[in-house]
Amino acid sequence: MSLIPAELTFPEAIDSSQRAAFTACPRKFFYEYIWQIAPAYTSRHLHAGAAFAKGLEIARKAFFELKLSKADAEIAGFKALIIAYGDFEVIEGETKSFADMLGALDYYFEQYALDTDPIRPLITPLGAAVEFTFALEIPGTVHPQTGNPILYFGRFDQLCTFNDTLFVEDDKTASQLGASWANQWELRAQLTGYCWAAREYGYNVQGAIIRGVSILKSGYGNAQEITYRPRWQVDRWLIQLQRDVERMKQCWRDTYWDYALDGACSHYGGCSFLPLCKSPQPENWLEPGYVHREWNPMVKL
Amino acid sequence: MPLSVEDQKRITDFRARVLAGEDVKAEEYREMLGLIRARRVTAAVEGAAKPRKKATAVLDLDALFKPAGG
Repeated sequence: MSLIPAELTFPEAIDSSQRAAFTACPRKFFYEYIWQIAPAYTSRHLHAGAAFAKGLEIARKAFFELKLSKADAEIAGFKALIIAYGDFEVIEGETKSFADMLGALDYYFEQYALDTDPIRPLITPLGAAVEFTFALEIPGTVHPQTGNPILYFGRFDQLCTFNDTLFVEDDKTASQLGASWANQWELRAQLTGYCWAAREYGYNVQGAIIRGVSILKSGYGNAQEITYRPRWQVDRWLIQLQRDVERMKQCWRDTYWDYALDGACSHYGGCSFLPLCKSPQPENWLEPGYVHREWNPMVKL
Repeated sequence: MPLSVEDQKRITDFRARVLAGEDVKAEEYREMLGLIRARRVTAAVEGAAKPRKKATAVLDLDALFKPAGG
C-alpha cells in the first residue's frame, strides 16, 4: 500500500509550523502536509520537548486550577512527564534522556517556583489560561476544495500576567542558550500569531515571554526573553499570512510545489526530505524511511 | 550527566512502575529527584574542575632580538 493518500487534500487549518515549512521550502510543505509523510524515526528533541511541556502544563493546572500544594503540583507534573516520555530511549551518551528531562523539570521549578514565579497564568471563568488553544478564521481566505474559510490554529503554554501586563508565554527546551537563542524571537511569526489570536479573543497582550531551559551533559541553564508586538507588526503578520496562504493555494492549483534548493536543504542537520529531493523519482524512496502521518494541528499529541 | 549503573537501574525501575500505573508515593519521586540532583552537582563540579587547554606559543627571544641583517 502506498504511503501517499489516494486523494490529496489541502489543509483546513494552518499553523505556524506549516507556514514556516512553506516559506522555507514549498516542496517540504508538500511532502509533509499534502503527501502527509514524515520520517519514520522519532526526533529525541521533539519527543523530550513534548514530555517536558506536558509536565509543566499539568503542574501549572494542578497548582493554579486545582489548588494543590506546590509539592503535590510538582509531583503531578513529574508524573505527567514520565507518562508522556514513556519507554522512549536515547542513544547512550546523548542528552535529553528520561533522567535528563525529569531533572530539567525539577531545575525549572527551582528557577521558577510555582508559588513565587512573577509570571502567573491569567485566571479566566474557564480556569487557568494554561495551554491556551485557538482556531480562528484567517480573514479573506477560502479553502480551494471545500470553500470554507481557512483556519489559523495554535496553542501556547500560557496567557499570563507579568508586572500587571498581559503576555503570551511559551517554554522551550534547547541544547544551548546564548545570544543567538535570545535573538531569534524578535520577529518570530509563531509568537506574533499567538499575540494576534490572544487579541482576537479580547486579551490585549503586549508581546511574548519565552523561557528556555538548556539540557547539556554538564548541567542545565535557563534564559528568559521578552519580545513586544506593536499593533502594526501584528497587522503586517496577518497580511503576510494571507499572502502565504494564497501562494500555497497557487501551488495547489498548479499541482507544482517549488523547491528552495538552498539553505533550507541543509539547515538543522539537513532537511528530513533530502533523500526524496535527491531522486528523480521520490515515490520510490518512501519506504522504509518514511511513514504516513496525518497532520491535524488541532489534535493534541 | 551520566548516572552510576546502580542509580540508572533504580531510575529505570521507578519509571517502569509509574508507567505500569503503580501508586508511587511522593517520597519515591523525591528520592529519584535527589539522585538526579546529585549527579547534576557532580557534573557541574567536574565541569568546573576540568583543566582548560591553554594555547601554547613558543617565543624565540633570540630570534626576536637578533640584530637586523645579522
